[in-house]
Formats: sequence, C-alpha cells, structure tokens
Amino acid sequence: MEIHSKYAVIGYCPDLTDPKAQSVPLAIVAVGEGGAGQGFVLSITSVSQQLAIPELQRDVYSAKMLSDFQGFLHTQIKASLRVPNTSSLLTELNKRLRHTIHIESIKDFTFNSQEEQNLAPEAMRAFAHIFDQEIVHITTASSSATASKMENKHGLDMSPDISFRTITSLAHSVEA
Amino acid sequence: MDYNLLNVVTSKSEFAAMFLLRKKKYHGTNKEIAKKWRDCVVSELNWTKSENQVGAKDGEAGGYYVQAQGFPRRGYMKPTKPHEGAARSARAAREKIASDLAHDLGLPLPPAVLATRSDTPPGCEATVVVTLVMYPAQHYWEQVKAQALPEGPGGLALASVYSQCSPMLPFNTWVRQMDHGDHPNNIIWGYDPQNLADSQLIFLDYSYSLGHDNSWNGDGWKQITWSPFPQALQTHMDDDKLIEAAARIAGYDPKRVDEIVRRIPDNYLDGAQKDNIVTSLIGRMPLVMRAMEQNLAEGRSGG
Repeated sequence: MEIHSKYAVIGYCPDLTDPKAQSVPLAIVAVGEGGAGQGFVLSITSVSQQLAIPELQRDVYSAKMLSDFQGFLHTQIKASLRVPNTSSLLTELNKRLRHTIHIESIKDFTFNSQEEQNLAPEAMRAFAHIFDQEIVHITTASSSATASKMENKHGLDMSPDISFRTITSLAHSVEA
Repeated sequence: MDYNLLNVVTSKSEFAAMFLLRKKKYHGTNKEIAKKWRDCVVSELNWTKSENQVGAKDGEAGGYYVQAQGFPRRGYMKPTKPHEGAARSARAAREKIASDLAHDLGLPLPPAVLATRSDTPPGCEATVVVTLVMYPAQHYWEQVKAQALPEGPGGLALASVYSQCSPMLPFNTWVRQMDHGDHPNNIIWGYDPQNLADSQLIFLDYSYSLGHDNSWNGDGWKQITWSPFPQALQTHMDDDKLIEAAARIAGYDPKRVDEIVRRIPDNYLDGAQKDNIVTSLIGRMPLVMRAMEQNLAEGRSGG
C-alpha cells in the first residue's frame, strides 16, 4: 500500500544577520499515516552532521541545544500536537522552529509498505534514504574529512540516530 | 629601537583591530542602525525577499525576511498577509512607534523603520515595517525557557539576564502590549556566538499594542492593566529596575511622544488614531508608575 507522508528538513543558519548566509541541513522530521489510521512521527539526526559544521562548533549554546537533538525535536513535536491531523503537524512545528534552528522546507513523499500495521521498518528505510539525499549528500563533500577525524579522535558513533514514534491521538500523545 | 616593545605594541594594535572588527560586524552596527532608524521614518531602500527564510512561513502577520541592496544586514518585513480593517489596525505604525519609544528608553526592541512594499499582492498592505535582525544566533523563548537554569555561575548569569528584562514590564504595560505572557515566539534570545557577552532577550511584535483594540477610546486609556509577563522572568524580577524604568517612563518628555507619533505618514496611521495614541501614551506615563508602586506595596511583583 502507498503511504502518503510529509517531511521537513531542519536546518541551522550560522548568521541570521547576514542576507547571504546559507543554512546547513541537519535533520529530518517526517509524519504520515497508514491505512489503519495509525500515525507516525519519524526523526533522523546525526552526530557527525553536527560535528561537520564548524560554525556550530563555535556556537556553544546552539550546540548544547542540539547535544540531545532527538530530545529537542521530541519536545517541539509534542508541543505541536494540537493540530487535528498529521498533515498539518509540520506546519505547526514550523511555528516553533524558526531563526537559528529552523525548518528549511516541507515536502511530500510517498513510499510503499507491505505491512499496514507495522510501518516502522519501511518508513525507517525510506527516510534513511531521504536523509542521505537531503542531508548527508549535501555536506559530505566538504565535511567528510572533519567528520572522519572526529570519529577517530573521539570514537563517536557516526551512524544516523533514527527515532520512530507512533501517534495514537494527535490531541494527546506521542508514544515512544 | 626596542623590538620587544614594538612587538607588544603591534600585537596590541592587532588585538585592538581584531576586537573592533568583531564588534563592528554586529554590535557596533546594531547601535548605529538603531540610531539611524530612530531618526528615519520611512526607509528609502528597496526591500526584497531574502532567499533564505530560515523558517519564516507562518507568522500571524505573515512576515518574511528581507534585504536591500547596499544594506549589509537582514530585516524582517510585516505585515504581509491580507487583514480586514488593516487601516484601523495600522500594525506597521504601531511597531514603529513602540520601537522608537523603546530606543529612547534603552529597551530591547529591534530597531524598526517604515517601508513601502513593492509588488504588493491584492488585499495586502503596501504600508509595512521592517525590523532589524539583531543577532547572528537567535532562539525562541519557548526553547530558552524550557532549559532549567544550570547550577553554579552559569545559572547565576542567566538569572541576571532574566532580571535585566524587568524594565519591560512597565514598558509593555505603558504601551499595552498584552501578548508577552508565555507566548512561545514573541520573545527571542539573541547573541553573538563570537562574543557571548553580547546577548539579550529581545521583545517582538508590537503590532497589536497602543490600543489597537479600541481599548484606549474615550477614557479607556486610563485603565492600567499589567501586561502579562513570562513566569521565568517574573521569578527573577528586579523590583528596583522595574521602578526605575517606570520612573523613566513617567519622566519621558511628552514632546518626544508627540514627535514620534505625529511624524508617521497618514497612510500608515490616520490623524484620529495619532491623537488617541498621543493622548493615551502621555496620560498613561504617571499612571504606570503609580500602578507599579501600588502593586509592589501590596507585595505583588512581576504582574
């Protein structure tokens, strides 16, 4: 079956005062609904992505906020759960993510899932690919050396951190 | 020639140059622009939408980030969405007036200048305001307040930053800005990552202040209602700073109120509203002081 979803690319802008400043993509938040009305929120972040951005390393406060990026996103998503349906959740989230850490874009995305009741594996696979395309692909060329160095130096886990949560009721809760 | 001395002098000069360069980039220009925009009413620059909107899509007034050729900084333009009764609301003018008053009182509102929107879509206002984006890094109040004050010096420093906002309570009460309670987005924390000492909480959105809801009609302006104020800022309220700010407002030159309001072009704010705002602001100046003193005497602090 086809699962219609939306995803937001979360970006970091190193200098809001500069009209020419470009944002760097950091993470993905996706929302969708299966045929059984089961909603999901999926977020993908990566430590290596943050380490690859020199400006972020100098911005200690933003870096601190992003040190638990999944926790940060979860808080913002929970606060956005007052909307009636999943399709408007990212719009609501957009109101909370502006300025330095912000939503760069919101896009539609459709993927296939064999299992109506358990979307997690298919969704995670599909959005891991999106993460590669939208985020890793863009910064890898300029940052792979830095990331690799950091990995060697600190022994950090460089794999993407994926969080998949089902939504039982948009008005009330996101379940881990 | 004493080469050691020369080295010392050189390195000091370099240090000073670096220091000035860094300060010049952000802070210095903030002050310079604030002064220029206080003196200016309507910008002559041609403001165009910035390519990178850093998430600006869905504000109530539908604002967006703008830039202008020859101007080194980014601004934020609003209102950009159609609005019934736009002339009565006069949102751009209210933002400009509040910003100019705050500038004179040394309070943390972004500098603002009126502007004419080019390519105005049908139903939208061409009479807009541009506010300055003040800091390289900015975070919403909701994200800031969610973080507990750290133990130790960091927590003390943050508490001190919070208490610096105490003057904003009498100011908001004076101009009747009623949307700074625990609104998630109307306060932001801005700072320069290269110089963390250059940091402050900035109060946004005065489009719906200054009696926009007709509450200042007739004798309505005499009613002083404490402006809602975020709980975290109330907790760290400095009563001395609060009273000092109320006294500054009470002692503010009424002629400057008159000048700030009446110089707004009529297509941004009509004459009757100007009369109402001038009368109300001047009349409320001593009342705010009295209300603050009375509330403190009764043991209430921070709204």
